[in-house]
Amino acid sequence: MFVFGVMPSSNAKAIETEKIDAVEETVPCPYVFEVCDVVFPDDYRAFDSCMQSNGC
Amino acid sequence: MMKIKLKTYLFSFCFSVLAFVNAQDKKSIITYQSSLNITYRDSFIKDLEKQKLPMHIKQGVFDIYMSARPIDIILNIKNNESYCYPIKVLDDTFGYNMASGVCINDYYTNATSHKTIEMSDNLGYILCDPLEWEITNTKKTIATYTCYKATASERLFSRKGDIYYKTITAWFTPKIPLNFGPKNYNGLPGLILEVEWDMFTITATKINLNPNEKVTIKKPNPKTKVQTFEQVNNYIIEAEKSRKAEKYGN
Repeated sequence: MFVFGVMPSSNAKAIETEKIDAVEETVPCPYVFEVCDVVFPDDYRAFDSCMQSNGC
Repeated sequence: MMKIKLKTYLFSFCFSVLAFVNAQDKKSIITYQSSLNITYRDSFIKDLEKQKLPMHIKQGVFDIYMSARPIDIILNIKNNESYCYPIKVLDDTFGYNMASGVCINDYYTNATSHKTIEMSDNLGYILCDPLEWEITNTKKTIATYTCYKATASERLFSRKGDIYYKTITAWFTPKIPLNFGPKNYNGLPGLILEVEWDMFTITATKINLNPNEKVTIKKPNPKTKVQTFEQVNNYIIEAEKSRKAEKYGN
């Protein structure tokens, strides 16, 4: 009875932690800059859009 | 005498109704699809392999190119005005769909004043340069319409602060006498069904010349200042400097 009572609550905690991790995970801006820089070396608008799509 | 008057009224009434119907009819919705040119992609990837870049950067660039998905662009036309906008899609790999770079902002065109305004969230309103088209006799068929080739040189904002040009090729059909096209590409004697340059192609996928639904023309806010190319370019120079200096300096 005790085991069954504890298990669901610890599972719920694990799921909650995963959710928080997924929300907080972002690509670091210096990396985004380097990638967008190679993809769009000339066009400012496209480069800017590439940066902003990643919150940079 | 009464009969003549009645006839005149009837004629005037019918004419007014016809004029009203005609005015109502001058609306269209054109759907375009923009996609990354495979030849360009393959050539870029080949060159990328030769570049001296960290492997994780190469991988990021490769992922962006390989995961590029076409996006839809809608062109609403009503009488002498058009409003063009991209359909926003959720970005996945690296948080960015490369084809989004084709058409980032909304565009308003007034064919009477020959003006196109780009409505940018980041840069504000920008008055687009009118394009000087060179029309050729080269033909091809797009969706049963005979289209003629026209080329123009488009002035663009460079990241380095200088100005650069790219050659645009448009295919227009005189069969549809609407002087409009996607983005700021307009001013040809017929609807533009395709626009291409080295990196991308925008092609009409649906032509609705008499839509039942409401055709919305989003006009620029008259209180917002419309900037010239030079004003925006000066802003870009400063923005690029601060972006590099603040966070991502090389």
